Amino acid sequence: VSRRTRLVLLAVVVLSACMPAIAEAAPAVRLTAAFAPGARLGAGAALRIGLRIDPRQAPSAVTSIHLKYPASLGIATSGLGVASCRRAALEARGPAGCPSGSIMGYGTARVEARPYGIFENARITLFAGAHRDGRLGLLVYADGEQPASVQLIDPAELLPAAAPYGGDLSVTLLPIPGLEDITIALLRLSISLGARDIVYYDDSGPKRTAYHPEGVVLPDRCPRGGFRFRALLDFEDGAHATATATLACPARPSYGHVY
Amino acid sequence: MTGHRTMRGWGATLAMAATLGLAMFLWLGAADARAATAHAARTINAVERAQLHLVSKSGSALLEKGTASGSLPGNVTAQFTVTLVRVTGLVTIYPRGGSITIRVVGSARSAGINATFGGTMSVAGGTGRYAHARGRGTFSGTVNRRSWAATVTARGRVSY
Repeated sequence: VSRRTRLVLLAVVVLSACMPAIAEAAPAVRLTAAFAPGARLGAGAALRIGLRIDPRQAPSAVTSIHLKYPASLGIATSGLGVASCRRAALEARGPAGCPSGSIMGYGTARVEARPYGIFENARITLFAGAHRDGRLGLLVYADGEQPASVQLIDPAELLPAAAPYGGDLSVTLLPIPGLEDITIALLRLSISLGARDIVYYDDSGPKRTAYHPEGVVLPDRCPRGGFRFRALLDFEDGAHATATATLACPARPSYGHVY
Repeated sequence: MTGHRTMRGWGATLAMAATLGLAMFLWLGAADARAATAHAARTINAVERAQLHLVSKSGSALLEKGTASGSLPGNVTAQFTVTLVRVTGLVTIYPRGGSITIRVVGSARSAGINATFGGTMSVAGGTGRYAHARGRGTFSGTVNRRSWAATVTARGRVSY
């Protein structure tokens, strides 16, 4: 066996050893999606979306998120966001400054203040904002309490998306004014769209009534291959990452038999 | 021979006259038919007001039913697809003598619990006396985003 052949074989062996390691490397971003327990086809349900960013794989801070959701899910038919929240009112009074009908979801986030290595958990509220040029404006309100009391408002919107997606939930993570030298790096984000604890008030009748919006409307039939989601993240250093998740179909409604 | 030729000539003349007469008859008949068709065709400036209620929802699709009053009164079925702030769909009205199916494209104009919307529409087809219907127009309305009950006013020019 010639020296050249031995070198080629050695290269093949080394590459073969490396391949599994590359394939099994943890992704920079993990996306999860789930319907709330009890969800069924043809009815509304809360939709839980989770993002987890591995700081070892993606050391830079996230600057924007695009979450594409399946066309078969009814966001516009959900009845969520029957009022609009104005950014000025949210800045001035916090969530109390917005009508309850503008709440679209609740969630949590975990961030790291770099380079100080300080971690903070925040409660998230997603509000419906103004309609503009065929886009539905949103506001993401983050309320962090420990170790520092920090309230942030990030702009977001629901954009059209090419098939097979029905829309694109786009969030821009803005730097904090006056703290530009600190990087607030998002590590985890979880949001429940159409959460069951959302309460709206209907003033259209003679009597004001409280109700729970039904949540994201599922189709009568499950799309082939399940509900597919895709997240695209942009990072401060110019890097990008994508992650996908497929949500299995919930069980069909079962009706009891009368004998 | 001359007589034969004469007879043949008369025969040819008669045949030509008969052919012309038949052609004239057919042409006039066709013209009468055209005139009758033109007379039967109707163009109206329709104003319809429909009250719709939700029958079922599936994802982004809403199936609604109700009644229309106005120029073409009758029952109504409608299937809408609502994506973000855009609405598309097919609305079928069942007036006496047939049905008219209308394609609608619109958008939400406000997003309150009683949202307003509007857009354009065109006749997509029909049955019975409306089988050859055509026309276009505009519509506007309000929808309750809790019950999805809707009130729609449509204005357009329809020929059938």
